[in-house]
Formats: sequence, structure tokens, C-alpha cells
Amino acid sequence: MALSRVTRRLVLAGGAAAISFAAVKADAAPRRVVWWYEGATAAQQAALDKFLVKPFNESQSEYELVIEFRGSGLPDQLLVALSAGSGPDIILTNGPAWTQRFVTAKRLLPLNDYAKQFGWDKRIVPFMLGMGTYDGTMYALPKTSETQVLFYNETLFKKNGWQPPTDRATFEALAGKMLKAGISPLAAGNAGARFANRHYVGASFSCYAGPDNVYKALSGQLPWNDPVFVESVQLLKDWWDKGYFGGPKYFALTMQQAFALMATGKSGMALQGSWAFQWVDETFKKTGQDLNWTPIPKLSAQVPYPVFPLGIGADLAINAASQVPEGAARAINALLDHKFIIAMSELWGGEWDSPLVSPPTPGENLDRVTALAVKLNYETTSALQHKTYGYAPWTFWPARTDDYMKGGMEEVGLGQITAKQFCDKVNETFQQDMKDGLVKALPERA
Amino acid sequence: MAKANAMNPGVAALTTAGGEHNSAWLFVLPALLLSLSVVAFPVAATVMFSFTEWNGLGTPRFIGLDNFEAMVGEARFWTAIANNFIYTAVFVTVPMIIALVAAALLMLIKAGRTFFQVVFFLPVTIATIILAQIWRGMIYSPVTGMVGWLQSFGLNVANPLADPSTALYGILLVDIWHWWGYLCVIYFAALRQVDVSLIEAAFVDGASYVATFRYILLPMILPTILFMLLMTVIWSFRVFDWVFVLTEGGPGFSSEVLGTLAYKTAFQQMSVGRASAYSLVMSLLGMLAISIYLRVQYKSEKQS
Repeated sequence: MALSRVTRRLVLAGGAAAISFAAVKADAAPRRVVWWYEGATAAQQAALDKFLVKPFNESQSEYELVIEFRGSGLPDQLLVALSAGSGPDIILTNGPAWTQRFVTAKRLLPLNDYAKQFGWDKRIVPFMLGMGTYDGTMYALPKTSETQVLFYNETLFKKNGWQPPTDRATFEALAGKMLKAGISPLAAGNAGARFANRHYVGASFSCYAGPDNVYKALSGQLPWNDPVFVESVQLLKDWWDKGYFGGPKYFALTMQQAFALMATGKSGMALQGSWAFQWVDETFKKTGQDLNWTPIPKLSAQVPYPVFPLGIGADLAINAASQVPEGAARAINALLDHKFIIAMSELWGGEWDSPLVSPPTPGENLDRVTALAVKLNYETTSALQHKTYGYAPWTFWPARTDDYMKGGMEEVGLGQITAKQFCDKVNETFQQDMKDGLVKALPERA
Repeated sequence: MAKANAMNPGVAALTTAGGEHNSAWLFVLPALLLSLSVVAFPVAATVMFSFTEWNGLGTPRFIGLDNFEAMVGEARFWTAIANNFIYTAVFVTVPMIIALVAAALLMLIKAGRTFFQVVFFLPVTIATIILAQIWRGMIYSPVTGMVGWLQSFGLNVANPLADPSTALYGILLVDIWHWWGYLCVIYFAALRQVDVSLIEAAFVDGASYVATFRYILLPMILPTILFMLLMTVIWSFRVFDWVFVLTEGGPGFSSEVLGTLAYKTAFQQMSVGRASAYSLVMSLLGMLAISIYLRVQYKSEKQS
């Protein structure tokens, strides 16, 4: 009897403890998963909150996703924070060139297990996935695939009976007509964004020198001061001298202001990336004119057509010091959700184009601009499948070489150095980067 | 002295045999510790890293003087040094003169002094990034700025930031606009501390206002001018924000200064070792300015 009383008490005590523990667990606050993002407008922040943060937080009770908008200083802040062994749980880098530094310094968590758990290795285009894989270990996922094309003001083209150019001859002939009509051929500007300079270098390298030559140079088989690259840069210099880029205004306009000029018909075309779709609301939709795009013209006889210079706008990774890696992985996985991608693409075009093997199929009642963006996204995937892709500098060039190109290309335009001197310096810097092991090995083109 | 100390036991305690120095150290210690903790460590780290190859994340590798050798062979470094000297030369003259003249004129007026001081001082209270964006977007921009508005009337006005030969001066104009008012208010405050009887005596002796300013007011506020000169030199050598926001050192590398070069090297090229070498040069130039100032101050104190 005494024993049974003790047993009863033990059972009661155990039960009470279990109930209390369960209650505590149920009441426990969700653990924060912090993601530092770049700058975003109020509308963009609201869209992220509506389509990502709220659904994610409401879908489970273990984790709370918190996005901190850190502005353009994000790369610096990440470098300092990761150097000190702290920082956010989800790491957003500027792309593979930046990711590699963090990988070699062992600041990122291997993602292979999560890739299997969430099927990332099957859902993401292998080429893009390969850019975040180092010696067989996956450390980063591509957040956005980016493509460079030639945007143009279709209303202006129709009014003047112009056709989108397909090669250098038709491009230069059209640019000449525009100049005569007082229209700046290319809507271009780099105020506050000098990185824009190497957008043109990348386009010229891919569409004049050709993707095979760029691949060889990136693999160390061809120097960057080979005549084919010098000619590519000289071509840009010739265009600069002819006024295609708008002359000194280039340094005074921001990229978005330049794009706005195209929407008014003061500029005719823009060698821009897929991210430009996010400017349409403030430009073309306000002027009521129509935007369209065409592949970058074939700039020399040796290159195929079309070539889409591809890049990864940003990489997503998990901080090795994160206390909530599972939560971070779940949040990253939410970004690959088709519903999320479609919803965000309509509000924030060009920023959420995850390179999926099976991209989402948007509804049929798309507005014209969203349809253009979707078409470009499909072309990007197709370019990878058909090997008609080129290379965007910000993704494939190491940071030091990439940085030199920003200022060096301006010196070429201004006549302070020659195309050959520029290429010599690019080559010297790149070879040093390669020697230091900072150049990412590329998937073969064949 | 003994009498004074007898009247003030605290001072007496400080000056007892052998106690003077120890007590003085106690007073200095808090500020010294604070300064050492926030200044000494970064300085030591910068010196150390300048002899290494380091990307800011991994393990630094000692490379001796390689960073300095590469630095002196780099055209961009010399452009930056030259720009820093031009910046300093303009900055220690133009705003100083404008501020002195404006402060002297403020002494002449009775009504509206406070209003003008507030107006002059206002720019320095606003964040650099905001002012720079205002100038870039509302003044210099050919689309949204005054430059564009003037161009619409057919005037041949250009954005100075877009031309390599004028970019640095375009930045200087903004920085001078924001800085001179601050100097003016400081000088005006110093001028008002000058003994009125000296000024009155000068006027009684028939001196003009210009002569009074030249021979009475200016010498009296010379320590303030020298101090602001030193600060201006130091601030000029470490200029970064205006240049980075307005031109990022461009077009080309035409407006590059040591600050932007060090920043870009550290954070965009991820070469923290090399960036530390640039920073060390910046610090040495600042120290040189401080040494000159201290020497001038010592001489003037000795003379007086």
C-alpha cells in the first residue's frame, strides 16, 4: 500500500513535470532567424513582409524570420561581422566572387544535407548550383539569375520604323540615325553605381570576343590582353567617342535616371540587365510608352547569336556561427516556392528570378511587362541548356579584377589609358588573383 | 604658493613632495585608458596588418614591405596623394578666409547675428550623405538639378563631377559650402572674447575697422585659427565621405583620395593588408600636421 502510494506520487510528480515542460515548450518564443538584406523601397519591403516573412512565420512556430534592410553598405557589414565570427544567420553575398572568400575562411555552413532534405540539388539549374559548390561541398545557392540584353523603347522604334538591331552593323547604323535625330543611342549612367562600367565590358567580352574566349581566359588558357579582348574594349571606346553612351552625362546620371530617359524617348536603347524590370513602374508605366528587349547584337562575325551574358545577382548561404541553421535553411527554401516567385516578380521584377530547373508558370493574364520579364527568364534557362550563355563580370571575375575594371574602363573612355593598357592591367590583376586561388573553377562549356 | 595652498587643501595635497606627479596621473588615467582602448588597438592592428597579406577573414600572412613597395609603384596611390594635398591646400585657405571675413562682418552688425549664425552653421548639422545627395541630385544633376535647369536655357553649364579635370573641385565646393559656416561661428565666438577695451582703444586712436581687425582682433584669435587650421588639415587628409558619395573617386581615378583608395582596397578588393598600408600613410600625414602644429604652438607660448 505504502509502495503504491509512493508510486502514485512519483507518477503524479512525473506527470506534472511533463505537463509543465510541455507547457513551457509550447510557450517558448520562436527562435529568430536573421537575414540582412540590401536596401529596398518601402513597397518592396512590404512585399517581402507579405509574401515571405508573414507566411513563413505563420507556417510554423519554431522560427521567426526577421529581415533587416542594411542598405548598400551590406557587403562591408558582412565582411566585418563574419570576420568577428558573428553576423546574420542567412548570408546574402554579392555573388560567387564574394562567397568564395567566406568559404575559404570557413565562415559558411556546408549545405549538402539541406540540399538533399529540400531537394535543392534537383530543383536548381546545375550550372548555377555549381557556382556555389567548392570541392564538392555546396556552400551557397544562387538567389537570382541575371541576364544582359538590349532593352529598347518600342514606341520610339515603331514611330520611326526602326527594327531591333541583331548585329554590329545594324546596331551602329541605328545608333547613327538616333544621334542624327538628337536621341542618345544608349541610356547609360553610372552616378552612384560605378560598377555599371563593367556591365559594358562583360557584354562586349561575351558578344565580341565570344563566350568561348572568355571561358578560356577565365580558365587561365588565354590572357586578358589577347587582341580579341583589346578589340572588345576598343569597340566600347569607339562607341564612347561617337557619343553612344551620352558623353559626360554618363557620369552624372544614375542607372535609373538613364533608364527613365529611354522611357521618354530621349534615349533609344539600354544595354542593361534583367534587374532593369524593377524600374519600369517608375519609368515606362509613367510615360505610357512601351518597353521591349532583344538579345545583345552579335558584335563580331566569330561569335554565335544570340548570346546571353549570365550572372548570379546574389548568393544565399548560412552563417557557420548560426544557432538556427535549420530555420535559415527553411527560410531559404521558402524563396524557391513558385507562389512566392510569381508574387514577388510582379512587384519587384528581376530580383527574385531563382534559376530553377522548372521555373514557375505564371497565370495567363500577365501584364505586358511581366510577360517580357518571364520571357527573359525562360531565355536564361534556355541559354544554359543550349550553351548560348556568356559571362557577367560580377559573377565570374574575382573581386580585385572586378574592382579594377570599374575605374579602369572609365579611364579608357576618357582617353587616359588605351584599351591595350586596360587589358594589360586586367590581365596582371587576374593572373595574380588566379595565383592566389581566387578564381572560381567553371563548368566546361562543351 | 604656500599661502595659496594653505587656503586650498586640495591643491596642497596635490603638490606635496612626490605626490604632484602621481596625482596628476590619476586625473589623466580615465581619459588615457579610454583613448588607449579605442585608439591604440586599431592603430597597432593597422600597423601590424600593413606588413601582411590579409583578406579580412583568414589568417594574415607576413610579407614584410611588399605592400609598401607595391604602393609606391602604383599610379593610383600617387594620384590619391596628390589629390589629398590639393584638397588640403584648398581647404585650409578658401573656407578659412571666407569664415574669417564673414565673422569679421558679423562683428559689425548688431541685429540678426543669431539668425546668420544659425543659417551659416546649419549645413554642418546635417548628415554628409544627405547633403551630398542633395548636391548631386538637386544642384549638379543634368536631369533633376539646377545644372539641368540652366542647360534648358541654353547655358553651357556642366556637372563638375562628370569631368575628370573638375571632379575634385566639384567635391571641394560642396565640402567648403558645408564647412565654412562652422568655422565662421567658431571665429565669431573667439572674436567676441576679445577684450572690448582693446577695440575701443584702437578706435579712440583712430584705427579703421580693417586695421583694428588686422592688428588687434586677428592676433588675439590666432590660437583659435591655428587650432582650426590643424583640425582642417587632419580632416582634409582623412576625407572620405564626400568623395565616396559624390564620385566614388571617379571619373576614372581622377578624384581618388587615400581614404577612398583604402576603403575600396579593403572592402571591394578584400585586400585588407594593402589597405592598412594606405591607412598608415594617411595617419603619418596627420601626425606630421600635428607635430608642426605643436611646434608652432610651443614656439608661440615660449615667445609669449
